[in-house]
Amino acid sequence: MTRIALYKSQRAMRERREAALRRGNVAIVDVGSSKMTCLVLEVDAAKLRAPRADGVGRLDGHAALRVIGASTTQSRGIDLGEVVSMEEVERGLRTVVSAAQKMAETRVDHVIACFSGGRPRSYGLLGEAEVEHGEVSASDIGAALGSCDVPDYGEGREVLHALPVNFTLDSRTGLSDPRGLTGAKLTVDMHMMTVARAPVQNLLQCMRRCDLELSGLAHSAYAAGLSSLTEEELDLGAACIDIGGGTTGISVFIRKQLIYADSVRMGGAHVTRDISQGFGVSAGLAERLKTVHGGLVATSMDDLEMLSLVASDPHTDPSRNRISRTELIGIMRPRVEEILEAVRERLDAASFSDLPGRRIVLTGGSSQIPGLEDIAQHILGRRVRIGRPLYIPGLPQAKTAPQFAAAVGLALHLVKPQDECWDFEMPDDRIGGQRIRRALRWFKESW
Amino acid sequence: MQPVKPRRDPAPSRLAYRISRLWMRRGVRRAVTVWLPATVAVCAVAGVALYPSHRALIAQTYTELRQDVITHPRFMVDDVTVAGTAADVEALIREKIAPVLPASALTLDLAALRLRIEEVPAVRNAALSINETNTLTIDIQQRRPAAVWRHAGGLDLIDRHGVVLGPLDARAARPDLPLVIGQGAAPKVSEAQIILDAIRPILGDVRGIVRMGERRWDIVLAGNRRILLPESRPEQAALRLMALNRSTDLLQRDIALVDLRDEARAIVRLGPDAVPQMRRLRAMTQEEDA
Repeated sequence: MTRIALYKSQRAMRERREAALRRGNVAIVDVGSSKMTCLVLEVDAAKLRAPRADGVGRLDGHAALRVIGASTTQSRGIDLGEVVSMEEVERGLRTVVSAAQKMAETRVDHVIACFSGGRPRSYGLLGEAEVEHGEVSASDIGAALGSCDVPDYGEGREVLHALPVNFTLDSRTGLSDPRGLTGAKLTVDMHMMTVARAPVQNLLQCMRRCDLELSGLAHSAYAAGLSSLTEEELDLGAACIDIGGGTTGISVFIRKQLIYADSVRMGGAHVTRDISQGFGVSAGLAERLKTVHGGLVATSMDDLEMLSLVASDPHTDPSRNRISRTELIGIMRPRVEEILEAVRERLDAASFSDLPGRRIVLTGGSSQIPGLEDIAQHILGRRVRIGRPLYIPGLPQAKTAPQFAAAVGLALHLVKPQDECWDFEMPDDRIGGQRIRRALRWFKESW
Repeated sequence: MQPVKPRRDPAPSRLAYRISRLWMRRGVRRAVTVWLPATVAVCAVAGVALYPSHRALIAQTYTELRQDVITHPRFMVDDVTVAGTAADVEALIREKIAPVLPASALTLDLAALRLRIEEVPAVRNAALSINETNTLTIDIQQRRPAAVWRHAGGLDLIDRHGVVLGPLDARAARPDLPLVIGQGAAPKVSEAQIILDAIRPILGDVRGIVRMGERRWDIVLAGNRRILLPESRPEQAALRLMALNRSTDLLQRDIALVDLRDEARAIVRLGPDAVPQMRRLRAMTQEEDA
């Protein structure tokens, strides 16, 4: 992909999302490996860019947002965050969208989706431009963005997010918006994230089969980070570990920008599978054992707490009738440790330890396993906390649990996207000297 | 733990999903709930209005249905109770309403029937009602006979307003009622009543009261004595007569007529035997004087 193609695709994505926002009602769909969540949002376009009450700056957009419909259903046909059975996913989408529509008493046509698969890969890009008129203008920023050297990220992948993280003007770095500053050379650090194209296409096809228009797509690791990290953590640098059903998403933020995203293709479903295989019970019972009795740190009391395996499901033939909670913990712990080890590897590879903040926030459905905090602290080597998503107006109480971090984060991303910079015009000579368009623009601006 | 039953897939079918989404469109919902019924209604009305045969059919069905309801036994009135009157008047009333009944309670015009019943002279007022057992109840307020009226055609009973209630065979049949006589006497019977009230002390002597020339009254006393009353304020004249009677015992004497028409003076005509008697008595006193 060339630089111009990146510019155009990011701009098209932004325009599609803005168009959906102007319609007023947007659906958020989190297509996860174990559940699908749909939130119907009512967006008040007038409040979206409203100034704050104290007159300083603008509202974050939360005020414009209101959840009017919400529903969740178990998802099938999704493995490791990717669609494997179109029919099953379509059924799930129909269930979740129609339930949310019924609650919202309105129809939604535009969907912003997030998914957790696609093997995200992060790239750091560097762009440079000479400042034309002494003061940095929008077109200079556009020029810098357009000049980024796009690495060859391989066939069958596409760019999901591309956001400027940092601007450097001459020797001054750490700028988030250099417009109006005086300097000669503008450098931009950009973070680009690519995902495999096939899962995205499959998801798009699923939406199309449900008569929904996909107006935006985000990776769930990014969305979960937006909702479960606090403002300070986002600013100083922190990592969000979204331990979902099929995958574990990792996102690292600094100065409110995503700088690294990755995913470990393991999650809560693997823990369930281990329990199911270890005790010879059905997946349903294993899931129940995990959520009701599961834990990670065994105490002597757990030896005495016996869990019955029979009489729960006549179709399974458990090798034993009763197990102790310690045995359950003994099966769950290695897998969770494995997941966290993998996370640590990825974080180390991204040199997360060099960041100033270095907070780690665990979220996602599997973060609710008792004792995870201790284990994670031990393995990741620093203090962690369990993050719940930020409250947004109208969000039902049942949807404030950690497993809805990605859905809520997607809503926050929707009203406060950080990609306004793609609106800046790139100088025409970089697009290829379209004189006629330039003449037209001159004509338009002069009269 | 409860056994886990395989649950039905909660997903709506693709058709149900599409229909539910379609239904959420305001235009579609309006079209189905407002415009479609409106169109059907307009078409139905037009279809009926444009074909005379349809109109006739509807009219006929309506009439038949209406007739069925009206002639339903539940609404038929055929029993009549008459209250507050004597047997002879009741027979008259029954005769009046006989051609109307039996009729349906829904179509029976009670106001018209009441007017018909009130045509019977003895009826002053009739109240008609139909009760839940479909009996027509007629409450009669009868006219009371106030006087007997003798006129060229014979004897009639009249009430206090002068309404003729019916013929009377003989004066002796109702000795309790006063007798009024003469043409134009009946409408003025209340005036006669006032006069008779004024001469209550001599009522035993009174044979009747005669309307003279349809303008004034004569009281006829036993022995064909007459008292002539003036046209205006006859009751005052009657009271004067009573005063005269009390002071002079006028009516005990042999007189033929007392004329009270002149307010200033009463004129008395003596009886036929009284004049020679008076002359004889005068002669006797003159002789004694002489």
